[in-house]
Amino acid sequence: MAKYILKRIAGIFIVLFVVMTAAFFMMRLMPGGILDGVEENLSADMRDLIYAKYDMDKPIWEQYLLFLKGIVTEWDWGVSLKLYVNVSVWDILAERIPITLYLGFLSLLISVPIGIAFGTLAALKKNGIVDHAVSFLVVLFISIPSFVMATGLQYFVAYKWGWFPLIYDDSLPRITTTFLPVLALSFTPIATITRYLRAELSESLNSDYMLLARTKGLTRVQATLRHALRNSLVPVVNVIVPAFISIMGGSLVVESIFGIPGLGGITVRSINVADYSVTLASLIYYTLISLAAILLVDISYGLIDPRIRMGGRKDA
Amino acid sequence: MKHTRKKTKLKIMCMLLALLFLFSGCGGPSAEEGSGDGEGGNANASGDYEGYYKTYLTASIATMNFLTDADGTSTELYSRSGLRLYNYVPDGNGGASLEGELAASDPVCVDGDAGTTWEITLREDAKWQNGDAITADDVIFSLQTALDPEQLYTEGSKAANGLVEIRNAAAYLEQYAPGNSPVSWEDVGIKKTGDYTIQIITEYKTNAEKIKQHFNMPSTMLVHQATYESCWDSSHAVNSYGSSLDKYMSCGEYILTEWVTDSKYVLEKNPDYVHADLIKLPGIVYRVVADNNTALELFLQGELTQVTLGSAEIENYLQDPRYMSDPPLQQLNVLINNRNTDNNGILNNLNFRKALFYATDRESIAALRNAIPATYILGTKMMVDESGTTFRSLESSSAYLPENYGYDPEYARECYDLAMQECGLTSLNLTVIFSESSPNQRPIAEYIQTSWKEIFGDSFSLTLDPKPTTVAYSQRKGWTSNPNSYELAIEGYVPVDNILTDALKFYTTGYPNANEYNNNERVDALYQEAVYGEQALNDNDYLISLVQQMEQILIYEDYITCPVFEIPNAWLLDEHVVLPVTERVPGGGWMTDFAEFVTE
Repeated sequence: MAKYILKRIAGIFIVLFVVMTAAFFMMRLMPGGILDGVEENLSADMRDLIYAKYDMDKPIWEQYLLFLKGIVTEWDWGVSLKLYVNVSVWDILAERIPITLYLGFLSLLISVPIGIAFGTLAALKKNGIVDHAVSFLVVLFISIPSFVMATGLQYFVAYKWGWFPLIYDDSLPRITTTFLPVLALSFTPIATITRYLRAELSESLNSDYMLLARTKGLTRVQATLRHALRNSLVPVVNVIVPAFISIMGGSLVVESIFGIPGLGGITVRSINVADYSVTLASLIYYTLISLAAILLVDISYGLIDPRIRMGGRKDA
Repeated sequence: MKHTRKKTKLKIMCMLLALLFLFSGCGGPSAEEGSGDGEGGNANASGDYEGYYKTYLTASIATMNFLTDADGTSTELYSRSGLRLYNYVPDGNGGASLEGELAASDPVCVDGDAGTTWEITLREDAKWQNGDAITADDVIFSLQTALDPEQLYTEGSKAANGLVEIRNAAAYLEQYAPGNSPVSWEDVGIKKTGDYTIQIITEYKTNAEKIKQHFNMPSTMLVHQATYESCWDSSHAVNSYGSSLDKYMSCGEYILTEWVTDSKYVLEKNPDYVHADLIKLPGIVYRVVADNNTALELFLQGELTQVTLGSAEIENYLQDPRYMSDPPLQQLNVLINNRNTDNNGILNNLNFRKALFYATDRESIAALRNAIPATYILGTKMMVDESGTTFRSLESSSAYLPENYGYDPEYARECYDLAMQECGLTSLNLTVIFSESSPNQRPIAEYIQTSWKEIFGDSFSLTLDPKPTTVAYSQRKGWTSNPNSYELAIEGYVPVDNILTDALKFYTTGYPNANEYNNNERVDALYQEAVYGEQALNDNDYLISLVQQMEQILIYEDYITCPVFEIPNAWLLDEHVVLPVTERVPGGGWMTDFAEFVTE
């Protein structure tokens, strides 16, 4: 298992390198530059001097080699040139990652148990009113994007009813000020997990081992929770990673709507203003988080189902 | 046993996840509070900000270093916490004038008729936030920093020759460009002549008013030397001055006391400010609110003191007593790339450009956005003098404007047919690029797509090409290296409202980063005369006549661009706020920093 994890970690670094290289070239090749919008009053000499200062007068491949050299020799990923001028990109990310992770993990921590609960309920009460109600909610939550949910929650819950603040306010308890954005981000994962679990659990409930469990004297709920649910969780764990990734993606817009000082907002802004360093660092962060999440899920398979051994030796 | 081990592993995983969640919750945005120096400090740790003016920014500030401010988001904050030699001050009678802020009096010419050497005396009681006195050394250091040839601050060019050309300043800044000679600081026309006096030497004769306006620009504000020098990185290549609260030193109307990254910035009244008696507010709070609908909701809830209205919302609040409107700050034009060689170079054909001008139904397009139809270059905000008289209100400036906002479809069709004949074309398809995120550009594009085709007939079609703002910008500017980089585009310039010639500099030959090719020698000569000529310097009526001539040539002879409308600028202001001025001051705005709240 340890060998397997180490191999996967090495793979993560390879993927990160590929992503970094591709992103570097793509952004440099896109139209737009660091002086867009500010060069109206600059002479041609001034413009050329500024581009030379940041090595942007060199061929892209040379810029890339200089970039790699900076990372390898000084661990220098550059500074922001537009969004937070002359601030190191990692300082920028370090200040914002915690709140973005907070939103993401909290959304996931809420989504998973609620999704499992709804899915179990729907499976147990299959084709009943409860099942239909849950299915309706699932369709609704999957169809409506998180930013639409966010806007709706902000308007009705915060503005009309005044139950929660309209935007992020650091003077309030964090749980209060982030409740609505977390809720907005949770709807889609709840729906996804509910839908998958309902399908898997419905099948498991009709298995022979369930009959045996009932015969042994367990109630339907006991048999479901102790046996059927566990068997159904392996495929469901598979959707947790996409759910988490969709939460991280959804947070880009939700953070902007609620004015949350997280990473999502500046990722979008950095792309729009061609702040290459910040965009690259953000992409690497999101890639790393996604790959780490996939690795965690793969490891968890072995915990959920003893028959699955990741990286174990094959028996002769 | 195995079962127990697995349960334990599961428990450990859950604990790790919970710890991760807790860690991520512990961190978060840094809330830097309190100056810790002198009498500053955060008196509102609870966040109530009772009596504070509450406003918002649509994006987080990039930096408080005004020399590198890349997108203008920080302008209000550093304008209110920084000091200039000259600034707009309310006169107590509902108006304002450009007076000495750090300067104790108007600039004095010391070389007689030459008019190139000006002495400025500083106040002796101005202080930094930490109590340090502000002297001539601070002014010299600040200007030298702005012109640093190694840092190459984008605002440095403005400090060198924004409104007056300081001798050798631009040459000093750009000395490392290939082919340029080294310039020593001693050769630059910025001198310290006493502890509280400085001398400015200009390339050309100028007047006191221009000197004052030049040193009203943000690029000439003060930088605290000790703080700046402590912000160098290890290689002395990058300076992070202004990137956080502890890397910035206030000295203006307010002191920056709180900085919550991407969320909130708080200014508190500076008791040592030179005009402290005029500041009535205890402070100003800025929240970062990216979405304007959210900002409107916050205003309606009483959480904000003012809010900008989008074009679509203006109608809903026209009768609201809180409604305020400003002269439009920007005008949108249909830009015509006259260097484009496609379609036999029809975009350079005068008749075709006339056709586009007269085919544009400005009144109808403007109605879509509650805007002001425009058939000119100098917008309604451009002032001719400090009295508040606008250029457009002069009879002589309206006399040459066409009737019906220049909309004449029959004449447009005649010009179009003639142009097509001259260029040997039987059909024409053009593409117009515009910013996809702009709420004002798309309606223009969509309207002309339909209306122009109706006027010009089936031989003409217009393709819309919305793009991200930066991409559209690059494409518009790209004609210098690729003449066919674009055909038509929608955009405009944003001139300074109290400098009459500022709107016309974009159309002079050799203006860097123009949107189209300009080479009208008459316009160039008129511009030179207007900016550098002695008669224009002393005779405002003469200056106005020069500007009118330039505008007529550009629009009604060359048809260099196709103006459409001026973007409205409307906002709501809390009814308990009393502003120090009755009308917007050109160059000074509504001066909300001097506002006060009145209780009913």
